[in-house]
Amino acid sequence: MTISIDQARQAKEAAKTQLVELPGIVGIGIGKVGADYAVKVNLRAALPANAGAPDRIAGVPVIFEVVGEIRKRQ
Amino acid sequence: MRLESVRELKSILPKQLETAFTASTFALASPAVARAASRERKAPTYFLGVAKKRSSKGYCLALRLQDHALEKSALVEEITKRARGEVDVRYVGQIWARPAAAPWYRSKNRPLLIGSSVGFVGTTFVMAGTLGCFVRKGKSEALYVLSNNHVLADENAYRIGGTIVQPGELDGGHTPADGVAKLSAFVRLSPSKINFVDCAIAKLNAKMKANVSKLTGIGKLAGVRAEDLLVDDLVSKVGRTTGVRHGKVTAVELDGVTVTYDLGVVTFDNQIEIEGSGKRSFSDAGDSGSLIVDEDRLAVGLLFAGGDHGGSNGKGLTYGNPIKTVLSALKVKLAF
Repeated sequence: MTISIDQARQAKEAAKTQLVELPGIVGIGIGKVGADYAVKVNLRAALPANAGAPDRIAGVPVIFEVVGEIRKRQ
Repeated sequence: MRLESVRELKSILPKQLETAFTASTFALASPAVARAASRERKAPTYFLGVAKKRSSKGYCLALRLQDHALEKSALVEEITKRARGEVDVRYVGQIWARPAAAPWYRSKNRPLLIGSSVGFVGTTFVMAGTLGCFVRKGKSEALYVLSNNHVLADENAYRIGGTIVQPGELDGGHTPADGVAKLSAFVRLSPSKINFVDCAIAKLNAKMKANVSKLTGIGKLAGVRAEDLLVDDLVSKVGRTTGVRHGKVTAVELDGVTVTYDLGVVTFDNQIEIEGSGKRSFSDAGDSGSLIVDEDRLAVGLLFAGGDHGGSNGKGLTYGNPIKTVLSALKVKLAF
């Protein structure tokens, strides 16, 4: 069964507390993996190998992406 | 400093420094500078001017560096010393003559057009952002330009009633000739709390005309989308730097988006994230303020930030405020 946006919303809120120790998070939102909604975690830089980043939270896939520094577009 | 003192310093310094800093003293001062100097030029290049102080009244020396190697050099130290610390140092890089024909979105447009260059009149630097769209307040027919706070209100620093120029100063706009509107309202950007929008409006000057629905290169603006944007939705924008670009939504309801401004790091909740289609980014510096529309040309977002990493094509991601949040925060309605 595909993961709904509401499942992803709940997992996103859980992620905010669960991932609080991870360094350099610059955004947590809702993304998609194929047809499944997912938690998207944006990072300023790559995580250290032993950071303990989960693949799933409450059964919802977690996407980690390095997005770099976000600046005003001026 | 007084204006005359800065002018005097500006005129005498280059000669004094010429004798003090020959290529050989650079070699002793810093190997990095020496390398930069020996590449092509006789000495690393910089130029001087007069700048207004940002924090207080009065003037200071403007020092513009065209070589990164100069940034921590003895030359800068010496100039700073001679100006008694009253110096505004910026790296500006090599400056090229602008191409003769700028694209329409970096040019002067009358009537005003969505997607064109616009901005406040800077005191210490010139800038340009994008005219997002036009809005109205209450029952009045008067039109306002909608863009970002950092495009129209200088990150909370511009005064209400301040002149907005089209094109922006970076594209050759001058006051009063190119003044088109006056800053009317903005939502404050705050580094100490959660933000939702980076937006401001400026009221069009009397008799100033605008084409409120033409999205040049895309079609006709059709209104505001009622439903929330979803991941994988296709979107477009027209902006001052990259013109028309198409993209795809990669994330919605993004919280804790930390964005670097001149006033500090500002955090936003409930943001939209977009990647560019094909091999291009969705936006670049100067596209701030662009209206983001969906496939039906319904307004969905106000572009304000971006980065150089990420996205499936590796060209970076762009961030926007949901347009409904922007319109309700400013208590305005889209004109189209």
